[in-house]
Amino acid sequence: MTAEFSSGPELLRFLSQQQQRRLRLAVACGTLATAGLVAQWYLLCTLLYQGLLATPALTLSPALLVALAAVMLLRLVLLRAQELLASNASAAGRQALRQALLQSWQRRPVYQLAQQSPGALASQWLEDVDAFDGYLARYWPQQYLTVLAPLLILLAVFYTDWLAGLLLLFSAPLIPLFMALVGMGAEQLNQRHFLLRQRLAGHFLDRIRQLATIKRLQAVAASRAEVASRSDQYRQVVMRTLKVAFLSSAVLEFFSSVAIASVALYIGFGLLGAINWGPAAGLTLFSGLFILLLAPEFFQPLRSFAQFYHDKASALAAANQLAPLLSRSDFQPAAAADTATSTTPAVLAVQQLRISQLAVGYPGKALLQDGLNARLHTGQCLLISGSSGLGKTTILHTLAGLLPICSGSVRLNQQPLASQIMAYLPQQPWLIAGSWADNLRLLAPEATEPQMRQVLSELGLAELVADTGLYRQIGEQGQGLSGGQLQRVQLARVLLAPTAVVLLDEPTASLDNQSRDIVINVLRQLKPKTILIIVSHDPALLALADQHWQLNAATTDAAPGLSTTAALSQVQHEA
Amino acid sequence: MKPEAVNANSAADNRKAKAGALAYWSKKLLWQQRRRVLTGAAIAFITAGFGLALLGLSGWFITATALAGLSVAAGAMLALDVYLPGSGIRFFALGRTVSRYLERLYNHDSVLRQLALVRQQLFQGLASLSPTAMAQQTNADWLSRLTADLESLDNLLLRLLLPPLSALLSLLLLSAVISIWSWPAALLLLLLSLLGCSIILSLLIRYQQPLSQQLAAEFNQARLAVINYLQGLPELTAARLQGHQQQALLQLSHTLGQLQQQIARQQANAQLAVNALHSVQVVLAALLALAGFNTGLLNAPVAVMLVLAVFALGELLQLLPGQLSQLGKTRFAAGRLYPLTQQQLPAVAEPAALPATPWHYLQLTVADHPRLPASQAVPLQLDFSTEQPWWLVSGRSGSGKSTLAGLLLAETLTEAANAGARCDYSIEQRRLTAADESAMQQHSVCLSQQNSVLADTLYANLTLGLADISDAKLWQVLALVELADWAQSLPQGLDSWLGDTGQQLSGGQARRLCLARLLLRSPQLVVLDEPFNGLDDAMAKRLWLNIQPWLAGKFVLLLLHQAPAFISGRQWRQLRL
Repeated sequence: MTAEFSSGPELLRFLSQQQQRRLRLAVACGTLATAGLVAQWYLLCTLLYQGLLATPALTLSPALLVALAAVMLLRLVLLRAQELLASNASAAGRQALRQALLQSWQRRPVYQLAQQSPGALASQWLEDVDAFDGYLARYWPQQYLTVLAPLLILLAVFYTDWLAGLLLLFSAPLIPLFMALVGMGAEQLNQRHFLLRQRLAGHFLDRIRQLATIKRLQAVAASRAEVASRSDQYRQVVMRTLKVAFLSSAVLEFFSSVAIASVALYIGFGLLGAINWGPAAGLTLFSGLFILLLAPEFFQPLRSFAQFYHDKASALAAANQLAPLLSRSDFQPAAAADTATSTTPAVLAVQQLRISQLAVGYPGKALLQDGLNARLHTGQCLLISGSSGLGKTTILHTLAGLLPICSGSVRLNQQPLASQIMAYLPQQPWLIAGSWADNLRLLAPEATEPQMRQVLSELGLAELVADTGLYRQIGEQGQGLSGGQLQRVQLARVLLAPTAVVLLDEPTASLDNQSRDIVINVLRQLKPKTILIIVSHDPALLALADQHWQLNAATTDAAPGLSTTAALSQVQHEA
Repeated sequence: MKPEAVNANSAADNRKAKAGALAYWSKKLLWQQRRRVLTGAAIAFITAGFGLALLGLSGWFITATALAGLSVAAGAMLALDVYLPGSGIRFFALGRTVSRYLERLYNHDSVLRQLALVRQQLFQGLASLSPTAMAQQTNADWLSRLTADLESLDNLLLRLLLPPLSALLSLLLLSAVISIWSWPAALLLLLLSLLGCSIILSLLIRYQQPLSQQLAAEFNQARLAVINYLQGLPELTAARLQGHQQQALLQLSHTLGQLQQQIARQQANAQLAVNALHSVQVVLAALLALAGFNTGLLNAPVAVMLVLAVFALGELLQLLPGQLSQLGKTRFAAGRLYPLTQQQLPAVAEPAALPATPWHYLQLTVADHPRLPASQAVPLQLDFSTEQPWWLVSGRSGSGKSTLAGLLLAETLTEAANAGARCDYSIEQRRLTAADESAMQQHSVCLSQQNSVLADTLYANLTLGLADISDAKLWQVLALVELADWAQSLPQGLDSWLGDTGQQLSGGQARRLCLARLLLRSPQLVVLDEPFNGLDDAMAKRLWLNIQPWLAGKFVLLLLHQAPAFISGRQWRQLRL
């Protein structure tokens, strides 16, 4: 395992580095577009100057008009290219991020993932990843354009009139300075009202969450009035902060307005001849207009940057959530992950499973069972029984590779079992809202239609899928399917994609007698071809078992773990 | 979203409902608040107007000074007043800053006022839902979606109304100014802008709409697929088949990405078109101004002023595609919130009076309730009388204890009838129906299985729904549930804040707090669902003894998965589900 991302900003940096080529091109397009802008205003001012003041009055040159149109068109094309490149980069970056998240889920032990709600993880995969869009597509290119574009404009202004250039240059660093000062003030104010604001903001959702109680206690009307008054208080508190926070954009506005005004006044007085020093004497209507048109453009990139700032904030929030989950290796193409599926399962006629000194339990908690031993080969069955809470399902999870082994080993043909293909049948099978065929293919992707029909009729489900029934919807959560049918769907998957080891968790629990007979029958047929490990306390399955672990509670005074071995009675049947 | 409402409607009806939803919210939030909205729009317009004036006047000023400078150089006297235009420029520069600041402040205040209105409306709507529907609506996923939808309603004023409105008003102003010199030119500008913008923007909305809808649908599908994948992860991991499903998920993500890009591209196209339109306007304005100058219609400073004002108009027009592309999202949010506001309280006409307390006899018979297995073979009967007022019902989880409680509280009678159950409920000789729910609430209390602690003060938590409770009474009740010492140790006593941002409660403390809340009332019927959850045996026993006086003379339904030893069997009639 390689290093995980230590912080959100690091993840953001990594992602933008991956998309660097496109993003840099986007910045280049944006910079060229600014150059186009300068050229565009240059040509327009030339046009106006020639038309209005040139003596003798020149006729409009068509070449000038064509050039102006061409430059305008070019600039628009460049801007469009910038957007396209940036949005492509963002889409590619988010796709890579989603792939990496899937990798990280695969890497983490299944029990850890199971502790989080699937809905929350799904919104991580969807919404949190989408929060990176604004950062990649807008903020990242803009942070360079905010420097490059004003620089280009400044160069043009300096070239025309260095004093006007200085005017703009001095206002530029003042803006971030004042914005930072205002921002600090707003932050302080925010801190002061933080608790109050948080409580008022959460009030509405809290009351909705507790609505059932409120209704039972007949407090609906009172609570509604409270929602109104707290919302109003919330408004007042928020406005107090906003009064300061909005000053920061007012600063920006102020400087851009004042810069335009002072440039205009400087040019005006310069043209009048009232300023007798510096470059003012060289001003003409042409250069004056040109500078005046460039002045607002000088501040425009900074304004866009301020606008995109909240894109960064939301991306950063998402990145802080995701960074601890991801490591750089998750972004490598997943070549190794799927090799198991591509290699055909070893076709040894007889496979050997060896469980030696196995201890199971959840990491960080006391061991549930210890010192488990068994030696099985194809055609044999191990039955695990014992009252609830002794770790029967935990043993199955450990064998299936869903939980790390605490100590000991489990090997199939000398290889660790956890890295090999096996079938695990939990008590509640995994079904999706889809057709029978979809559901069977989830775990038997190669199965053909005739095979599915064949297997389902072996399991006595033929009437359910007669005619086009294979493509009929299976109820979500198994609504409309009985417990027996659910178990048989699981078994059908195993029959369609046979594996060397099959793990079953209570396959006959809560089944009626008829379904139970069918399930036991199928297991009996399956047995010669595989190694069965079954958790159950159904006595009927005992007949199938070659080995039997009867788990007993550890006596409290014995050392944990060892006691179970002592209490474990192993019943050995001869196959 | 209410599933039944959606399934019943065809797609066309659905679309109509959505359009209706947007109209509903516009009426609610914009029309009913029109004075504030108009004031906000006026400030926005003034800001925009100052922007136009600043650039226009600057252009006029430097051209006029250039001409004056030339004539002074040629030996003439300076015949230009530079001070008035100079201070005009300074005024517009400062005015624009100030009015922009005021505009943002004022309109955000309006939006927050709107939010308060929406919250009340939604609270009312949600409170009118049935308990089951309410349970569906108040889960965590749904709440986070509700929050996002509420935020989207901000767009209505800040993005969808004000920017187009102030752009339109500025355009009219500018056209009016230009018409002083040439009304055909003014008309040309007006028509070109209106026609161009409305074509571009309506195309944008028209093409973006189906895509946004498709995106929302794909998004839901992807969410389902991820949840499915996560649920199947144990089986997939064992079978080493994760890769297969991951490919399918990545394909979905790719589709999402492409749709989003398509939407972004359309917005970029609209932006491009608006920029192109503006460029054409500026060039056209320059050519027309030159033509006007050559024919002597206007002088050079005015020509430059008008061209620069047209140039300044761009800043307003260029914002529009980005702002209007929020329409789809806003409409979606409006559509989702709309059904909640249409919930009506079941006609609260005259809660038909229940028999006068104290009651002597209450009987509930339930048959064929799908979620109450014990009622399926033979009808289940619970009867309370003055002689035998207490029932103890036990059973494992899923055996229908909470269902039974809901029926006894007359909360779920309608739902039970819809599910095919037959319920017969009477007090004294009077039959109860679903319409008696709220009347029943006045005479019953229920300690539900889940603790519910409001994020509020201890005082507010205890007196929820009650008026005029003395502190002495509160302390007395707190002593009964053995929370008095704890409450006294809190820094602010009864005014201490509970919940996430305040005092954290243990499970046992929360349980006792919820019980204390009930002890302040004197109902006829008491339902206690697992009252000892999270309490140790000794504490449970003491508490049970403490509340005996309160329980006396009331009908009590006690629901437990297993009865502890201190509940003596003799007083209780028992039922095992």
